[in-house]
Amino acid sequence: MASETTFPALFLDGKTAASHTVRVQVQQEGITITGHGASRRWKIADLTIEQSLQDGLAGEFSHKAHPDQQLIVEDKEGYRALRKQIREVQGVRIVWKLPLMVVTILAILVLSVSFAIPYFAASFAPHIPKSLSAKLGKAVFAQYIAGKKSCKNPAGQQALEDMLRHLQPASTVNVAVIQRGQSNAVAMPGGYVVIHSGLISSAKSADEVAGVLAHELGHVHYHHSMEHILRAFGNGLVIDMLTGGGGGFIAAGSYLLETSFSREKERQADDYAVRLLHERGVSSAGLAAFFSRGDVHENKKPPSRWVPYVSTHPDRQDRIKAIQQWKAPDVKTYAPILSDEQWQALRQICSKS
Amino acid sequence: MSHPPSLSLPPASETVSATRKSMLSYDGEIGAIYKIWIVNFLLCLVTLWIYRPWAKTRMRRYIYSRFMLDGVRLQYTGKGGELFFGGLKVFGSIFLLFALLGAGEGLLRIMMQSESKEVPTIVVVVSSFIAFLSYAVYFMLFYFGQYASRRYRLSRTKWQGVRGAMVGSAVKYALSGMWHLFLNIITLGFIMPRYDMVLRMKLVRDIRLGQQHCRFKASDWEKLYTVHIVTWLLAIPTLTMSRFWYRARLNNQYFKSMNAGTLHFDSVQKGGGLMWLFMGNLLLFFSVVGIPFVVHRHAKYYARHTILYGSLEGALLEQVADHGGGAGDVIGESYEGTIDFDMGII
Repeated sequence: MASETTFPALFLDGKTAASHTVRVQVQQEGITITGHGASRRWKIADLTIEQSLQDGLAGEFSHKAHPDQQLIVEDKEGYRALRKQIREVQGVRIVWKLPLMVVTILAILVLSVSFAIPYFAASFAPHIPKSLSAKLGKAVFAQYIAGKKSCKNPAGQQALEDMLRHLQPASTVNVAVIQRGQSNAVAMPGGYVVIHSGLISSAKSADEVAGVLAHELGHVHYHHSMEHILRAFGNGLVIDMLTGGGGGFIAAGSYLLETSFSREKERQADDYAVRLLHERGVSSAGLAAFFSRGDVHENKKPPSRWVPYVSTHPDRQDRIKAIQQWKAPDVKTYAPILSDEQWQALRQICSKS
Repeated sequence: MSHPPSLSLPPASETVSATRKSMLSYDGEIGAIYKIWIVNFLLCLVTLWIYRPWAKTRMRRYIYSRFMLDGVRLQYTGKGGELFFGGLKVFGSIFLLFALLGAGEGLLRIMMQSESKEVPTIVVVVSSFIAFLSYAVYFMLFYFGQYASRRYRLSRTKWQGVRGAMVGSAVKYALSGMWHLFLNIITLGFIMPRYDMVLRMKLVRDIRLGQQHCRFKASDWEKLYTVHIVTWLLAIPTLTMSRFWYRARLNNQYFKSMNAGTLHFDSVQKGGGLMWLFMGNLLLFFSVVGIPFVVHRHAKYYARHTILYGSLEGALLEQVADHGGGAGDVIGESYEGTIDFDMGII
């Protein structure tokens, strides 16, 4: 320090509510506080900046050993000189503390959300007792169909049951159709699958519906819904622990992470579907044709470079390509999964008997 | 800018003459609040809300410093880091506790619902106990938090270098809170004035301003029953707006009942004013960009309607020993402080 700086300040002794006007002299290793008939010397190494001179507030300094004693500095030049001296002697660790903490926390967050939680969710999901996932699935299913019309035309239900039995003869999966315009199907924990009537009306053949059903059976087979629930729970827990309760912004961030997880699982379910269809002598061309028409609910969004990331399903073209390029391990003759009569009955599942 | 102490402050031994003119004033500026809020908001965004404790602290430092007691500004000495790490410890433990209780109770419930098996009585008893325990813990934490957050804020509020403190037990307060809540529930809310006053009394009696004990001497508070019952009956037709009149009377009674030695408190809140403050703040809050106005309006309202009079002398001017207010006390921060302003007393 080239020259010593002297400036006025207020000194609070920390014992009584009395303030004293003092003069502070900043030197190389310490400061001298002179006033109220006394003089005291504080080492620079012992000083703490309690409050920066910002937001209309005066700067506040205290002594590490006597934190109740405070020096209130309104003089800008004096404040800067003292702060500079403290930083020179003590280093700038205060400046790096927050960014370092933010980076560390973000690293923990990213590692937990990307690796640890997915790993534990995938490991635990298959081991959740069937009775537990069935109860959970029943509750989710009830909530999902609440207030919506269930399609229960007996002939249509029989056709759907025949389709399921054809794909999985010993299946314990519950499949229901609800009246909703969107072309969509959902798999839930405990083996519950809901198909929207819009999907059946937009399908050109029973094989297309069978393709989508086989895809949902893939989700059921791999316990994807349970994994998703465990993962969402884990993510919420970690984020809340790190932030002390987050907000909508964080929820949105978590959703984006969730969907990238789903894309991987969707590919897995597609793969399961083509294998199952082939094994049961049903052509996977129906599934590919269904996707290629772009009737699937999530693909109705306008094309954008963000679509693959915000969609809960992988990019349509990628899916079609993967299905078409799938190499069957053996040669089979495919036959339609339902007769024309059954297909017509399925199309009428939402009509009254 | 003129932080804190005015240079012409009277020496410690000199007392301020008693007067009914309020010794409390607020001179915050909306421009300054807006500036702090925008910087905080942006920093919260880029740090995925991790900056929140520091943001809260920064706003509090400004708002507290704009309150003057007898012409001398208050100081808030809390730090973002202690809120953050305290939160990490406290909320981490709480989440873990609730997750374990929830999982245990959920599993047992599912076992109970199983149609194929006979449910053992012990499972029913244990499951019900866990469910009860979860609710008890939740309410316990709520009241504990009310106390702890006041302890935290008071221990970090200084006037002329002399801080506040709370010297009692947050656990005792929480137990008392739960007991009075129970009484309130079984009387269908009839004893609410008693519930409100007793809990406030328990808080106030533990407050120290400097070495000065705060006293709470409620008189005439039974009159609150009339306004309570009338506003309760009118709650449905007025869409609960009538309750603002009860709240205003309660707040007035609360301040009138307390003193800290020679420093006395009074309050002149009115139902209409409180309703206007609340409804306006609600609209501003949901507009998001209006949040700084919420902070400003709230501070202004309380400064205008709370009267501090008497004199600052004796124990009020002597430093109090540090009575905690550490990391664990941030527990209350999740329940309160949405608008970043509440000093623990007003």
